[in-house]
Amino acid sequence: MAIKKFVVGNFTDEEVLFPAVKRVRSAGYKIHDVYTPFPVHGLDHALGLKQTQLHTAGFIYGITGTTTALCGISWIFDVDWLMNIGGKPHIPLPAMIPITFELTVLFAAVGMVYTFCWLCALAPGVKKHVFNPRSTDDTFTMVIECTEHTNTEEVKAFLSTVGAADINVQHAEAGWWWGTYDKEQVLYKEELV
Amino acid sequence: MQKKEHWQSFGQKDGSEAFNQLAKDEFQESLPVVSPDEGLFDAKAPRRDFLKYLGFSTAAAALAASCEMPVRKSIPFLNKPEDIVPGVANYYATTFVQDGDMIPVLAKVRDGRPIKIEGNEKSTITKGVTNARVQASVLSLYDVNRVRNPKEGKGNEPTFEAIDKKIAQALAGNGSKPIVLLTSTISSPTIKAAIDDFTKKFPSTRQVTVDAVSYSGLLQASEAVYGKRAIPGYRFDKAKVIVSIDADFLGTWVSPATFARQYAEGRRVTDANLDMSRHFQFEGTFSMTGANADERYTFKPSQTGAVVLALYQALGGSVSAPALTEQRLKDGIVQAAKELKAAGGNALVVAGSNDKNVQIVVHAINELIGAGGKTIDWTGTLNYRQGIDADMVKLVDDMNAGSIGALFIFGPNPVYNYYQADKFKSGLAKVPLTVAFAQVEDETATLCQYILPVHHYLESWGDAELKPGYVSFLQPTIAPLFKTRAFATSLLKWSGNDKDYENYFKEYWVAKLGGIDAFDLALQAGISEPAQEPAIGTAAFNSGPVSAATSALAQAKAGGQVEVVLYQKVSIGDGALANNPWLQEMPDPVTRITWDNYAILSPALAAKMNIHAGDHYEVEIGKPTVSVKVGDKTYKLAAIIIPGVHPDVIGVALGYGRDPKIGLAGGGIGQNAYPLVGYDGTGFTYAATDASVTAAGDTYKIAQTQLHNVYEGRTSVIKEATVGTFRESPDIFRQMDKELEEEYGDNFRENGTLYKDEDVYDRFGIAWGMSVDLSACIGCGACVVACNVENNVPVVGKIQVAKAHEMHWIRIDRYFSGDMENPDVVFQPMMCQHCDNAPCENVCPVNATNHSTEGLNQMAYNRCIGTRYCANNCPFKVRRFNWYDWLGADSFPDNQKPLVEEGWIDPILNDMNDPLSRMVLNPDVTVRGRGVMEKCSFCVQRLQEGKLNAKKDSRPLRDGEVRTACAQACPTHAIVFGNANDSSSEIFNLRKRENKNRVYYALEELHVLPNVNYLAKVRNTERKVGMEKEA
Amino acid sequence: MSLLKYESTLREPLVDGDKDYHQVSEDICRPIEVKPLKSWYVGFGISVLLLLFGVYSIYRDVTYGIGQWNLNRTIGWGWDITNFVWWVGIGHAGTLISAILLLFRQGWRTGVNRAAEAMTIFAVMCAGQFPIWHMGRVWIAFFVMPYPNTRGPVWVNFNSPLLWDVFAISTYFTVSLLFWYSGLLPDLATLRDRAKTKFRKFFYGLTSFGWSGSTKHWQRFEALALVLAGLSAPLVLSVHTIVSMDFATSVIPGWHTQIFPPYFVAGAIFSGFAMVQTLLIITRKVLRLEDYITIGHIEAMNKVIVMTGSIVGCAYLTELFIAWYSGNPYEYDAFYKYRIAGPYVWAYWTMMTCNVVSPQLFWSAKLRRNIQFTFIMSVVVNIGMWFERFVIIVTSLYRDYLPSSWSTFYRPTIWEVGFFMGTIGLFFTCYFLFAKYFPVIAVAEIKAVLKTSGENFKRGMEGIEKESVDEFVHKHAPSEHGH
Repeated sequence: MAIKKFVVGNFTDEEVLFPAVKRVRSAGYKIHDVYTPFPVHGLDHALGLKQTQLHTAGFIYGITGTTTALCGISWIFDVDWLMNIGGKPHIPLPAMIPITFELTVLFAAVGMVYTFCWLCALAPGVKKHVFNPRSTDDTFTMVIECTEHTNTEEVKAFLSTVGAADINVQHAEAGWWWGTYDKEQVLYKEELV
Repeated sequence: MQKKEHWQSFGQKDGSEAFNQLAKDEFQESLPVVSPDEGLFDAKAPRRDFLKYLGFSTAAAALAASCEMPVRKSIPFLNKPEDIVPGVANYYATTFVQDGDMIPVLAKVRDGRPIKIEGNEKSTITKGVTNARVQASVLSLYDVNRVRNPKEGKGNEPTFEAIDKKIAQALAGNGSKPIVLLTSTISSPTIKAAIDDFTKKFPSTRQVTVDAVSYSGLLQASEAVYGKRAIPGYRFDKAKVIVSIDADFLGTWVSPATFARQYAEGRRVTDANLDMSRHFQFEGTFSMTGANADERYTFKPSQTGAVVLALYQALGGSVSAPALTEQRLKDGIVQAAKELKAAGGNALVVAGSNDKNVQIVVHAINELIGAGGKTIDWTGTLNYRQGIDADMVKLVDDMNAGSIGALFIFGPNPVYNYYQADKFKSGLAKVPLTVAFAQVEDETATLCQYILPVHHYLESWGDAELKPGYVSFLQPTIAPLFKTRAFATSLLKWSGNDKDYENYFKEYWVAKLGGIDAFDLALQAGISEPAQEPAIGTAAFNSGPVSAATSALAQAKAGGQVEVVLYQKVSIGDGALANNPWLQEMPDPVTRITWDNYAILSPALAAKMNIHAGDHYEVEIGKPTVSVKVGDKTYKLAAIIIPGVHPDVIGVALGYGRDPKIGLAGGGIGQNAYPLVGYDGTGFTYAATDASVTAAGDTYKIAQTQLHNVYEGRTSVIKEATVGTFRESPDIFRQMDKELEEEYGDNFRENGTLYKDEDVYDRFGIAWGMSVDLSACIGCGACVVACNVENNVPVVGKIQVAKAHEMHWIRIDRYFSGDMENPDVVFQPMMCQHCDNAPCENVCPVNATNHSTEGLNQMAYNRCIGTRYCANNCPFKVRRFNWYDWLGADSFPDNQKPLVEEGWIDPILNDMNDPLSRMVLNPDVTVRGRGVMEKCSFCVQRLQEGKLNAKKDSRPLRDGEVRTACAQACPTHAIVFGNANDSSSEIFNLRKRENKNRVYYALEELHVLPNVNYLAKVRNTERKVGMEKEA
Repeated sequence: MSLLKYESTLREPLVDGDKDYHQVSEDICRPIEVKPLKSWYVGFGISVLLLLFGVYSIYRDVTYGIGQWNLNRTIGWGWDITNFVWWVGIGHAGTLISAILLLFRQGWRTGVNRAAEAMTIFAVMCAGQFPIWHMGRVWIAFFVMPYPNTRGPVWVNFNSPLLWDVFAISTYFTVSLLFWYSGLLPDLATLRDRAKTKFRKFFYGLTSFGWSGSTKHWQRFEALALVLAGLSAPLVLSVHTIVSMDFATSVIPGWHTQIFPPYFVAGAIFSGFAMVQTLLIITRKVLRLEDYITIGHIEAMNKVIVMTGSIVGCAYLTELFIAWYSGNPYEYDAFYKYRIAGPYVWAYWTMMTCNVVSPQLFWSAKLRRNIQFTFIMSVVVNIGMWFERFVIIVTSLYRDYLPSSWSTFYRPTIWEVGFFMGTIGLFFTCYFLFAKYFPVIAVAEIKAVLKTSGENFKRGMEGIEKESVDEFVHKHAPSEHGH
């Protein structure tokens, strides 16, 4: 990604945030993202985000686990290592159920969590720009992305009309990079007007 | 013409210096040497070397990581001795001789080491039977406590020559003072001859024979009424009615193994032939023989005379018997008499008493019922015991009088087992010259001036005459391990004969058998017997002494509060083999207790002392103790409650309380009861008729392998019935299966599995099977010890047995049934049942146990991780877990030693892990490490060997070619093993034809399909037995 | 769309006191950002000592052999597996609360799920010790892993319940861990952004995986939570079902019963909730979180306890009934002669009193809402559940089919006890660290329910219940035409 210029507006109450989101979008501004301290239901719709496909992935992982278990056990007992164990047949289906189930769950769960982390770029050592430290506490931070011919002042003004507090402009890396939060990294030279 | 020269380079062409130099060096480039300061990659040709180093380090790492076993050196034969093929066993015929008992055996020798004893089937007397003591005797060869050099006094260890000189001088200076050879029974013609030679040289010599547990009463009685000082040749196989008055002839009396075989032959039943002998047992305590009796009655030792007389009277003997109070006992005697009469001579009465008078009356009884010539053989009398007590007593007096010049002790151990040990000791001190010929430094040997170590029987030449004309030979199976010398060799040397015993013996028999070839053949066969068996002989009966005897018995004085019976345990006997861990750990057939002696008493007597056989008594290891007082002697012993013991009788086993010096196994175990032995003027008495007993209050830890005594009416475990019932309704045992069907549904067998329809595993070829006949099993424990020897089953010691950590692969469960006053006993050998639907196999997470195509439930020790789930899930509880590193096979070397120091396990483990003791291990069987589960394998190593032999000469396996150790050791042929698919095999025949009505499988309702079947127990009695009785 | 979130005022608030979002973060994060109390150091020290004792006990067993335990040829499992099942049982509450209660939309779970899940994970860690160290040859424990190897084709036995255990326990541990940690991310981010010290910035920066609170992430986050919950719910039930099969699939009377799976699961929830009570009652006091873990929470869990306790009681009675009704002599003996009577009678009746009788007291609301009483009960229940496992394992094994093999009285040795103490040490060591360095309550989730179930917000709602429908609609209808 690249370093971009953002106008950041903060809201203290989701009840104010919702109409604001609608109006900012209808005004044609591009909302880069809204950072909230907890999941605000419906906000993803308001922002026009697509439904996530994570569960589909989970289903596929699960099926993979099931087949792995069934094929693995059958192959081992009936092909690779035929053996008389307590006079049981070589493919004792009832005995295969527990492991099959466990592997299904294991594959699905692990797969999904990895996918989740991958999609959200979550990993130890991943660092992202924090537009407002309180956005993980009690503030809902709306970040509007500016293009070279965006009039930041106009945006700020507009934001204040929809109820945002301490509105400011930030130049920030829009994506993520490797780093730790204990040291400030200067990723770019300020070129203020 | 000149040979054309090809050259590779100009250098070679004109043989330049440089070229020759090069040609000389084999390696054209020098190997790289990495000096510390320069790194690996600065070295020459780093790539290849890097790979070398990499390869090496990987290999090294792999080695280091995977190397579990410590490295042990093995030295190959420089040049192979003839007749030793490494890995192939040789069998040598020899003879087990132990205080009087003689059993022809074969010693299995692997790579020069005898590792197993098996019966010699050529002998017509024993027909190849053995017993526990025979099986265990091989370990005594490797006993770490054996005397390793001749010793003089304390400490210094001179040579035989030095000692010979000194003794020669001493004997020369002895003058006319009597020289006494104090021996246990010697039945060896050659040793006898050597003694005669010695006596010729020193005329003042006299031989005194003493047996630790004496039979002189019987010997003198025979002498009195038949003029033969001998034990009559009993034939239990010929007897239809057997009455035993306190004679434990299956366990400890005279030659139990032989008698057990005869007994079993007289009682073997099939569906077709149900006539088995009747066995009456009259006794005070509870012997193994009593446990096998059809009718059992109890009496007090003080009543012995009365009982014998009553029987004599009931048979029409003209005596007035003193009154017996117990009604049941009286009835029993009458009943016994009735049947003895009816048997028309095919009957036999034996008595265990050492009282001459008792034995005279018993002889009279046998005359009365016409046993002589039918069940009692007077030509083939038995040489097993010859000791005369009076001689011994006289000797001790003479010693104390100081009239004995020299005392040579070979065999006996009076300081331990003479009834007045102190008197003997003081006498010993007064004898100028005392020499002990001993294997271990026992109580007596340590007090003698000289100890001359003698061979173990597996190291020695020799012979033993079981009965006239029937000789069995000894030959060395291994070179003497220590500086030992035969007893006879010493005698020969001192009597001025330069020959040693080996040649003396050889010449004797070459002459006797007529030629060296005959001798070699005899040696090879191990025996020399008459061509055809002489008929059972009679002898003239002189009724003179009878009246005297009867009147003497009639005046027997009454006993005291309680009476103490001194008995021998089947395992330890008189105590000579007490230092044998295998015998110590073999559970007593009746009490199921190891490693100790104790007071066995009846529930009634215990209750008097407020000791009750409840749950608490059962599950606690510490048993309440009682103090038994006889005269001025008091013994504090654990009270072991055994139903069926006479309410006024306490049984205490002889053979314990040996001196700690004799070794860790026997030393200091239990208490010595020999001081309780009495002397009645003619013979020793093995009972104290006037004793008192009180509860001592505290408890004492007992190592018992079976705590619960009854089978709780579980007829799918034990099936028994009377001959009568079985004759009337041959399907009685099938009816018992019906009960199962009532409980578990008509087709519980089909419903026993999820996979009814699947028929995955048809058995082609071999299907190993075993059958155990509960009617034939007498519980002697020969199979248990045989299994230990064959399969390297570790000894765990008392502490661990008490924790139920014993490792025996086969055990003999003993159950009492019927009323608890006079219970019936059934013995059930229990080993891995090799179930085809084995519960243990299903639950092992790593497949360490699984099923072979031949029906074996097999263990892969290397794979076992020790979760113990298989043992939990085994309905028969036959799986054994290696709780500790019993045999030094662990990845952590010597890690049992700290535990020994902390007292978690017995020091005996250190002995068993001694390199000497380990020589007994069977190289064909893995030594299991700690944390591994193990169990009966059906002696798979033997099965494989048999199959390979069959394969080598490309023929099918013959029936009886392979036998498990237990089946082979069993003196009563109760255990039959073979291929159940082979319709010609004994096991097949027995299951499908001969005994199919008695066949049953333990816990059949579980549908685990065992490959071991049992034959239900039938008792030859009119009483109701087993469940009938309890119902 | 309406922004109205409404919950009846009849429901008691899940968060007491006048709280706003910031206050919530403050309350829950404060304990982490200040120095721990003296009592924390004491407790932590004791736990570590216990842990070391356990480590030494295990060292002895591995070096010298399991013979140092008083197990024997008849009783192959004793304290080891008893403790295993006990811990696994305890380890069921957490995931159950977070998964099943999430699916049932039980708002009150938010207060307790974080701590409960942590407890689950630590309990499973403790449980895992026993199957491993009870092995005779633990150094080759890896044999239970099905992997192609150089020992010829040597595979594991898929018929063995012990192998099922391997899969069940490891899966359960992994999934619980993922579930718990994914839930932690936003709160760790909160801590990170509140952090003053360099270390905390670094540590929570690392552990929060760079969570930013982006709306898209929240969307995925919730999807993940929902599916994981959906997976964990049957997983929880399967785990103890499989553990129960260790016994149910065997042939031993007293083990071989079909009732085990539901019976074990109920027992697991029972003991799990009890342990949650024990921990939270202390935690809320020490960390002053009474506003978040309210009496309401405790009562809710007590209700679960009395229900599961009654189920367990039914199971016990059913066992007895079937033992008689089936007419199977072995089972009859096992229950009527050697369990409710015989040498171990005390164990059985301790179990009965603690598990069946005492929880019935919770039918009284007064006792349900009594903190001290609840605390005592929670301990009693866990003692009872320990005895349940002991009874099932030991008193079934010590007298089975062949009376000849019936066992001596089984007492644990010092090293068996030491091993158990060690796991208790491990458990509390972990919990103390958790309570010190992690938010014991899910901050974000509390905030999410704050406006519906917070006390002060409910007060704001009181008016609405009086309003007529028109007013109501007029006031709160989707405001297209703005303000």
